[in-house]
Amino acid sequence: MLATTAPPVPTAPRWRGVAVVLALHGLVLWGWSMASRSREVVVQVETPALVMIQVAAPSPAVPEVAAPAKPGSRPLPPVVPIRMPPAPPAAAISEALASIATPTPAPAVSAASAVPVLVAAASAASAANPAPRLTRAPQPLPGNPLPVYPEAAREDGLEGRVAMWVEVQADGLVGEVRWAQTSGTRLLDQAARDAVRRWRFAPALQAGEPVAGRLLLTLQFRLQGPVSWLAQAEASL
Amino acid sequence: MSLRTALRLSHSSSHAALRVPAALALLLQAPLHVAAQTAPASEASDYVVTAARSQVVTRDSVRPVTVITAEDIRQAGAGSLTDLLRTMGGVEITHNGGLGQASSIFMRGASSDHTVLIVDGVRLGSATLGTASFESIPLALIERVEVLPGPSSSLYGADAIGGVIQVFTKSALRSPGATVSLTGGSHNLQQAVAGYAGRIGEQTELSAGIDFLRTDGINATNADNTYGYNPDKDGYLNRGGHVGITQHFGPDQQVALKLLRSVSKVHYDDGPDPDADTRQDSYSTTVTQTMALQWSGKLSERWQSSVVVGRSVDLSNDYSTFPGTFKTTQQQFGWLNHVALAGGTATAGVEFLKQEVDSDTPYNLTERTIRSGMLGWRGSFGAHSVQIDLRQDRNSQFGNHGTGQLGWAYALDGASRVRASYGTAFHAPTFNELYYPGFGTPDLKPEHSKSFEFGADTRLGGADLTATLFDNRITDLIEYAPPDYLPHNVAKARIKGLVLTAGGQITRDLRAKLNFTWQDPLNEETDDQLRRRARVFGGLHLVQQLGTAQVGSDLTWVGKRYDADVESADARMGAYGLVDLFAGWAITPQWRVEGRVNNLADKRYTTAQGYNSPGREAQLTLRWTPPL
Repeated sequence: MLATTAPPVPTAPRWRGVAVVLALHGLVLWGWSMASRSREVVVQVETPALVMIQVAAPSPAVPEVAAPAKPGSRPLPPVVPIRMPPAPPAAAISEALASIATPTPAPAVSAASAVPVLVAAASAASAANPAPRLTRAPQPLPGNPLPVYPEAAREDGLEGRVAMWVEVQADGLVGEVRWAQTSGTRLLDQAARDAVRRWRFAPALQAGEPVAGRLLLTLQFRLQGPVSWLAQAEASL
Repeated sequence: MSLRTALRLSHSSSHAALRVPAALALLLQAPLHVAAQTAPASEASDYVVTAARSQVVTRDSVRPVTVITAEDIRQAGAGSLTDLLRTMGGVEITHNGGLGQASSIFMRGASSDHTVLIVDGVRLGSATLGTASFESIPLALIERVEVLPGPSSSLYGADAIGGVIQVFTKSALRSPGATVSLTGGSHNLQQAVAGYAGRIGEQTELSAGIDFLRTDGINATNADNTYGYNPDKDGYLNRGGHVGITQHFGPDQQVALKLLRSVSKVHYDDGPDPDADTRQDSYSTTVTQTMALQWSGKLSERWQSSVVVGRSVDLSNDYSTFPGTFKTTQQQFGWLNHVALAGGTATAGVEFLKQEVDSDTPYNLTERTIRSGMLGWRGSFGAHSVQIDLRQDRNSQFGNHGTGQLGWAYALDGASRVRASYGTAFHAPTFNELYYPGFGTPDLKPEHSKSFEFGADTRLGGADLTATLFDNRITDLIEYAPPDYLPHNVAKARIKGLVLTAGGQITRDLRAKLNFTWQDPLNEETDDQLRRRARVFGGLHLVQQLGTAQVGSDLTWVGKRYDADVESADARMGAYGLVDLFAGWAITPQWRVEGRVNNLADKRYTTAQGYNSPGREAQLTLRWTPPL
């Protein structure tokens, strides 16, 4: 909004107000930088773990970080928080952490032990809470049964593809299923939806917490093989 | 018979996963995350459900059946069952005007009273006329029509000389889900349909539907009509409803109750005097109703059984120059068994049918009963298949009559086979022919037919092709013959012909169904073409998928016919071809718009002299399928 009147000329007592405002701003900035630094410190502890995981995750690249600090050396440089690569399995993370929890050769016993302890502590914390920042979509669990091809559709030679939006609740159960694309045959659409309704999912994660999420699933119904007159007799009873 | 329908229904239910051979079960349990490995690159699907292609299982394993599916019926829009059968059923029809007017069906060149109509396993028709009112079956409430041409009395009993048409009302099996649709069209056509079919709990299926249709219609008659001409529009109003409940008791037993009721009011033109002063607006109300209670189940590992108890009503009230009420009630009971025996399947069954006529016309006799017994066997020996069916009917009017059928098929390889069959059939005289006061002959014999057929079936690419040569000889045809013009068994007819059908998925998005018949329908007394039957007729149904939309066309061709027993120029009705176009578009997965234009070229044609046929008509449908 454009000012239509000129701002009043500041008088002497006004300078006090400005100083207070500036001081408040400075306080906020200082507090924010303190908070950032403390986060950075936390990340710092975990950085060795991240370095190991980089091998498993394809992208994005993890910036180079210094080796664990030796006693007496200058403090570790702050590390910019990086974006987490997509979900390496929890087991892999634990494995990676375990591999670096073994003591590495260090010049001074006291300092060297400090770092492995920190790392071990980090690994223990990480193993208990494998990916605190992990955010991912819901995933179907193994063992969900596919629908049986409806017999009436099989007899009439009906095939098709059904795409559905599946709402997965935080407990991994299915909330609502909506068709995104139907096959043109109600029989197949219904069979797909009735099957998926019973599926179990690993729920979506938001910063490590299970939340409700949505997933697009496609099922294709396809008939195979030629019709054989020789097999006719089997079908009669 | 109707029982075979019940068995068929039990076989087809989703509980009959027993039918799927064990080897297939492996295919059906595909592992998760299959897409990356097994889906073709062009279609990315997360999961693929596969199954082996199935044979269309027919209760007659040798003679082919033409199936009109739920999708075909939906694409036909708000129309008549007879017009749908003309394009896709390989049959000939006549109609006395537009939608809702009296119609007849001829199968394999036989008469209109040689076609049996069975609805949900219950025989429906008029015992006074000998025909069924096909025009009263609401298309919106049915999901499937199966046409079995040829002599079928050994399976279905009396009257099946031309063939049998089986109609199935909507069920959770083939038409699950809810649907509401509204249609508007030419001549003030309006239709509203609501229906639901689905599972309630694990063991129960429910289906129900209602349908309301009205149209101002067209003028049914033209000035050529010697009986009555009234240049008014002859409208039609139909209200129909159906309910079906199926209860499963475990995987092997089920009980089903199905009801269909259709009430129509159709205006027509009648009256012997074409003078404007004495014309009146005649109309008739028709009620057709079927009720079927079916049980089917496995009594032992090798023994499948089914029972049908049914009742049908065909009632028509005429408000016209000659008012009258005619009501036919048919009550039937049947028990049919299939037993695995001697390397094949043996069939044994009994049936009881009682036909009652209730009318203000004082028929000399108003009821008759038919008791029947059936035996049959079908089996395969390597590439050979054999089928034998025998049936004995004991009719309280004319006594005993036996019919039989023998069929053989030989599989040339997995995709082709040749087949041959011979069968006898009969038609019981109608109450009008027997007992109409002053015009009946009570000791009429049934009409007989002997028919031989030879054919080949093959699968080529995505299409099923069949070719059938048939020779149908009908004797003792009942005719109102001189000198007394009372009905007598005097006439003979012989129809020889060739039927070709082809159908299937031509490309991934194009589906086609073609049927074509060349025949020589001869009145053997006069060597003339049988009345109202053509020498050539056929239909082609094409559907093209375009993403979420589809377009299609129905092409129908019927050769010239004569509306008299002699091939005279006066009685000639010219050949005609019809083009219908239809399209549908799924705006969203729940909302769909469908449209249809019938008789695009506005062709004037005649199926019965003196009666008009509809010209170009269009209709538009809005359909909602809520995801219940």
